[in-house]
Amino acid sequence: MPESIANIQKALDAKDIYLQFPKITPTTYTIKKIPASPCKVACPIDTDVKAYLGLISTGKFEEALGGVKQDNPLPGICGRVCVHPCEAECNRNEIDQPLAICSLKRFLADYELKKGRVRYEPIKRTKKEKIAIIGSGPAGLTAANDLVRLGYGVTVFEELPVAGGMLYTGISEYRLPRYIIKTEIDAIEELGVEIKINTRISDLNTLRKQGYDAIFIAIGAHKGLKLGISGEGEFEGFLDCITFLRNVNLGRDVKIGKKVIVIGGGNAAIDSARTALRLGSDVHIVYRRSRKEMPANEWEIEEAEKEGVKIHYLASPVKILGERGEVVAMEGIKNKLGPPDASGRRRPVPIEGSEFKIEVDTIIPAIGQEPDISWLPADHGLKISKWNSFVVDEETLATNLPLIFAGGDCVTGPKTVIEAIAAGHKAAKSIDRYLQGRALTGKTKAWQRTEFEVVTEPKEKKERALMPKLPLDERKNFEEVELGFNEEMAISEAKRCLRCGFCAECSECMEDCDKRLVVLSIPGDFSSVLLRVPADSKEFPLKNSPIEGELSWKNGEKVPVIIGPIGVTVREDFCRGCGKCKEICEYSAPELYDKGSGILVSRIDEFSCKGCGVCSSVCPSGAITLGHFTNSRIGKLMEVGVGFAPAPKM
Amino acid sequence: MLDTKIVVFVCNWSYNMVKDIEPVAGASVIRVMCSGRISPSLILKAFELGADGVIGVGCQSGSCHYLSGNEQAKKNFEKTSALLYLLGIDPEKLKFEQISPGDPEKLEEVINSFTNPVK
Repeated sequence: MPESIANIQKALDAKDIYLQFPKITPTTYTIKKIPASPCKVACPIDTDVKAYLGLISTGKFEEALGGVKQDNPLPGICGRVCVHPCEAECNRNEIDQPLAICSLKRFLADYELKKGRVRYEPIKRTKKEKIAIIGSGPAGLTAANDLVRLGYGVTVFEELPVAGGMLYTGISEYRLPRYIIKTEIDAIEELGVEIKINTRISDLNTLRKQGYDAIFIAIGAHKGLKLGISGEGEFEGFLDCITFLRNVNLGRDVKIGKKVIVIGGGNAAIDSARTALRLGSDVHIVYRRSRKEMPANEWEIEEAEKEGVKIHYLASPVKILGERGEVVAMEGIKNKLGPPDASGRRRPVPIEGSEFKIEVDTIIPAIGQEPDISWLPADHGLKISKWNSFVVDEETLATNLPLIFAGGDCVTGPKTVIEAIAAGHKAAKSIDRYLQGRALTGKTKAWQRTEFEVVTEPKEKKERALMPKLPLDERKNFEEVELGFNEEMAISEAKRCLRCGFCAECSECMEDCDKRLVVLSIPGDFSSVLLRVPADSKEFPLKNSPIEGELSWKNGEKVPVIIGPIGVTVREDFCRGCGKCKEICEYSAPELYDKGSGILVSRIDEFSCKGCGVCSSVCPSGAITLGHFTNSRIGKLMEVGVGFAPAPKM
Repeated sequence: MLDTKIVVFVCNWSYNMVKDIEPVAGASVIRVMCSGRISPSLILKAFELGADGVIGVGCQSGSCHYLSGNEQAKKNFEKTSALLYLLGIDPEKLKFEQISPGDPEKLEEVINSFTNPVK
């Protein structure tokens, strides 16, 4: 059996692709599909999770990686530090445990590195506009990646000597090795993005004068919040967690004492604690609520506890005591949980008379961060909220000033990497729309959660693959703790996927399909033949550019032929932008776009168009003509048919 | 025998069955990409040129290559039918048939039955 038939057979066995009406011609296959699986809905950037899981399970790592990279320019980083909301929504939760989606993404990124990464070709710049991006964190890098792919000139400004923002300065090396950050940023730089490190921006007007057409502010939230207790910041040995992590990660000299207290319960607190532990200190975390309310990831807390971090719940700091300019002790008070507050978590209420005092050398508060906007001049004119973040339009990320967009942590406050990437995508889209003179808000596809039944019954229970980790006694340095899956583990883990919503949307079938059609005609003759063009053919004639050629017959006679596109042409001066073609087309080939000053014109994507001509029949102004079977040609045929014109010579 | 001229529009995906039937005298078959593409103006043009009748042949519902082209065609033909009545042409001279491409006998039958009343 040839391989292609075997593939079809396999697909038929999978029951996602089947013949709806077996006896009719043309045979039409149906692909069973439900708009979005729970993992895709949960992901802020709509990652096609199912697609890459499906491809991994069949061993097609290369294709899977390609799919991941379309949504996410930082797969190696996300595969390590993403908070994976997709896993929480996974339907496998109802059977046993969710799929290790995040770790599988990491496996793909590792696979690429192991195999040897191919250098990217720089993207050809097709647009004259230049864009400045302030901040090289995940939001800035994603926006830069998207914009450079659209053909713009992009410059990223970074204040620190390394690019990566919070990825580099906020996340410790044992969770995210430095070479991973470097490789993924290199990949973006290879596309043509210019990253200027050690460059602090102090005025937006200067950037405008330098000729930047749009500015995206993605500075993140790098300023630690104050505790608001007495003795704070007065003594040496009191280190804000962001400064602490930044100095450690940049390799600067950091002095911490034997006994360290970290105040707070977020991921930054856990990171600080585990980092301090690796520097050789005895580390305690003080958190004012109980473990249930702790905002840090559950698995991070577990790892920290295993490594020897002691966590004290229901305790708050009251006062910091110092002697001769150095921290010596901290006074605290015990709490109990009261009624829930605005965030839905139970408010800690101090218990009277439960004050305690602990001796300590270093205190690291990690109770939250806000954007540092001290770099802006006094007359910047941007709208700033009371939390020092930028006020932007939620849909478009536009600030109150033209040309300037902002997104990521500097708008939302400290959030996750994946949310920053989502903001980067959004900003790139808005900036593109803005520079192309289109309306900023437009129809954006929002995935709706679809309720459907997942067949969980016949599925066998199968334990989730455990991530191999560095043994506890070897974790004294900053080597990466999680070691990643090997190929067999990845394949068997990916096979656990329930494939909610049937078709995995991997688009592999599109690769093989030769749906592209051209029409072959002999000049002066009315007969014509439809031809299929292989998907990899470069000789596919595009709109208005038919290829002229010659066909030789067996007897040596040569006949001139025209190979024309089957697609349709829209005459823009006739089109009135009514949208009827868009309404009727089954393949969403027509798209309305703003020609300028609000005049809408229809444009038809020649690759989606199948040339049926239904749009041409509904067009009220006659602007649409088919590349083949035009009205005038059919008219001629009718004239011949009714004897109005002589039949052409054969 | 009267010299009747019938214009038969056949969609590209049903066109193969035309080769299987005996050519009917006076009926000229015109291939279009999809029956939905036959606009009222094309039908009227045929009558204007002197056609005695127009038949549109589309795929059966549910099997259109372009998903809903045949439904569009049905609407177009109904609309044009009303228009023909206004113009004083017998609406019976216009017909839309949905024939499976595996059934050439049906097409022959339709064309023959159509030419008789026109005669």
